[in-house]
Amino acid sequence: MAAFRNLLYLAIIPLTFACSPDKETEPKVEPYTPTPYQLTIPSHFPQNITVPPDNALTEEGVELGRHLFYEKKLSGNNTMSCGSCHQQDKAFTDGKALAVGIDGIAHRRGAMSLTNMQWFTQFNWDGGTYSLEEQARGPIENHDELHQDLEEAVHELQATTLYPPLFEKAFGSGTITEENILKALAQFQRTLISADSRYDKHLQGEEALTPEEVEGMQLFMTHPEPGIGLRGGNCGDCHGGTLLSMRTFHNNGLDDTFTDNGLGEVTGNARHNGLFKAPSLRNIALTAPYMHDGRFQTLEEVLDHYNDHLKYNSPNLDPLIIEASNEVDGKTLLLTEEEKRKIIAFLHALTDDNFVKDERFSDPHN
Amino acid sequence: MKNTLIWLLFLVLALPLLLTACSDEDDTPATGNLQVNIQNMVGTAPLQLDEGTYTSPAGDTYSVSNFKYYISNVKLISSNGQATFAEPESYHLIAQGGKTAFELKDIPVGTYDKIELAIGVDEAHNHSTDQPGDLDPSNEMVWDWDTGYKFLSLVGAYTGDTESGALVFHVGGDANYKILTLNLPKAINLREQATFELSLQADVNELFQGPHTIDFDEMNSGGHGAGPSMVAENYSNGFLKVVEVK
Ligand code: HEC
Ligand code: HEC
Repeated sequence: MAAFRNLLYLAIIPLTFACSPDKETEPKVEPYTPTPYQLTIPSHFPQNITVPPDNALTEEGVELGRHLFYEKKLSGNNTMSCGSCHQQDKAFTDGKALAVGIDGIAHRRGAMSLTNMQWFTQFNWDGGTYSLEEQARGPIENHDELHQDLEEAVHELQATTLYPPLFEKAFGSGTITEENILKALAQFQRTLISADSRYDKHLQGEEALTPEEVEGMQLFMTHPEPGIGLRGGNCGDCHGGTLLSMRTFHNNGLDDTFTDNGLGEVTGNARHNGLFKAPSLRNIALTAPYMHDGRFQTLEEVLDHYNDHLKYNSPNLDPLIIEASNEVDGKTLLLTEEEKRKIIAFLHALTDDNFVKDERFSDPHN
Repeated sequence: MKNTLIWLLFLVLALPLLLTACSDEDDTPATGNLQVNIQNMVGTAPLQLDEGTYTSPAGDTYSVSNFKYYISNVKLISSNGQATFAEPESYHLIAQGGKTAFELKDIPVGTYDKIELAIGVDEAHNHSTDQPGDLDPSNEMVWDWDTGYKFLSLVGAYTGDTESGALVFHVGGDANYKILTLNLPKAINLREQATFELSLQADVNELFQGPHTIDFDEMNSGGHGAGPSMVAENYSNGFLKVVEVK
């Protein structure tokens, strides 16, 4: 094999000289020809996705990104990786109310599930970053996350035998850069597509849901209209569509006063105080505890919140919530216990077992 | 054999046509474009999200935080029945703070004096996850595939005589798909001019009157579910009007 390759070089060298006789270029050891990564877009998902033009997905880039996602050298003391807080079996969350970084300091928010991010344009609970490339710098450098200087990470990775060739294959240069680390992480994360739950099968025309789950789905998607006897939980107003998120920001009535202003911190607009991303509820049964600060342990507690404990005096409380009631002139949502149970049954049908077991998303260092 | 004969005949007949087409009209393009601009208004004032306060036809004070609707299946028609142009994949999500214009392209030359369009999504596309134009199975306009899309969504707040609170009008359901025909004050003659501009205005207050005056004290939400909606009857009547063709 090696002999064959040498023969090839012997054949190529005169050729390169022939083409550019005045340049004394060394023959490239491995020509940079990455393979485009074929992302399969589920037919019931929005088709118009945009990948940044300077970071097209390649097999090599995604594979490098996967290595980096699980690489502890990206942390200040080499004890944690992205995968420590974003664990595949929990749909890339960590089971904690608040994430905890390498120094044992708690983040003010909980780790978010990482799915179908290709379809989103704003990241984090407050929507404060606008691309996955930009987002990835935060967790590496934040003192309450991996607390690593990105420049230092570049040196550590450069000193390994593993990474320079992986970078060479992915980006055409074995000299590692901060930019290429972020790009590779983003590429890997764009492949984390979850579209194979029983709800998806239902959307594709299979009879995959039980009658109770179908009723739960209808309640979930319906905004109540008591005047015409239409009952609903109005969840779909914010968590609807095939992504189970409208990709919008709302105040869902958790607090009367805010310790975390959410979107308001990003925009500086007081009207946005207390607004957070309405996250996708895909795999929600695997991602407890719930909300940006993990205050609810179970889905039952979440339903009780929306039904019974909304803070109606909360500034900027969403009109979609203020207005929703199942009784004429009702002040709260007023779902029955049975209806809440059905909605929860539907939420369980959003679990995608193949996604959390998919080898392509697992830790390659093991 | 028969086919070849027909072809020959066709060629002989078509040749003079083709020749004249080339010789005396060679600087006229065969198609033209129409830019459609829509301005959302409340009465005579341009709609401003959040900041603006308005008075409804029933006399309530209100503001709007989100306003979107689908305009679909746009057609240009000539009243003498000579030509109709139907835009392909014609689904436009008009959003205050978002898209408020679209362009009809490659319209065959002709003189058009009416525009036909629908508010909503036709039944064939309303219950599927197919995505021509601006149809998107995960935008804010989606309900579920039984009800289909929200055709129009208005969210805001109001202060009425006896109550105050939130306004949530979501209108969808096949019964509420409304086709409107608007006369153009000046015909679009694409032989004379290759591109035209049409300005439309959509008046939010018209959603709350004609034929049904909507008093927010009694009705501050509506349209949910697939049944006929008063707001839809209102939007098929006076909601969209033509301001100018140029
Ligand atoms: C200490 C735990 C922790 C580590 C380690 C961590 N994250 Fe996170 N991740 C979080 C938290 C907490 C949030 C929410 C942050 C916020 O809202 O301010 C989050 C949010 C995200 C989001 C936004 C998801 C969305 O839907 O908006 C992405 C993407 C992400 N992390 C990627 C990464 C990557 C890539 C790494 C490794 C470089 C990483 N995370 C490491 C805790 C962690
Ligand atoms: C007005 C919009 C809105 C409505 C209606 C709404 N939600 Fe939410 N939901 C949100 C927002 C915003 C968040 C994130 C809030 C936060 O963490 O501060 C959220 C968070 C959640 C979470 C936690 C997600 C996580 O990853 O921790 C669950 C579960 C949830 N909602 C379920 C529901 C259910 C079930 C309904 C219907 C009964 C519903 N929501 C109705 C906006 C909404």
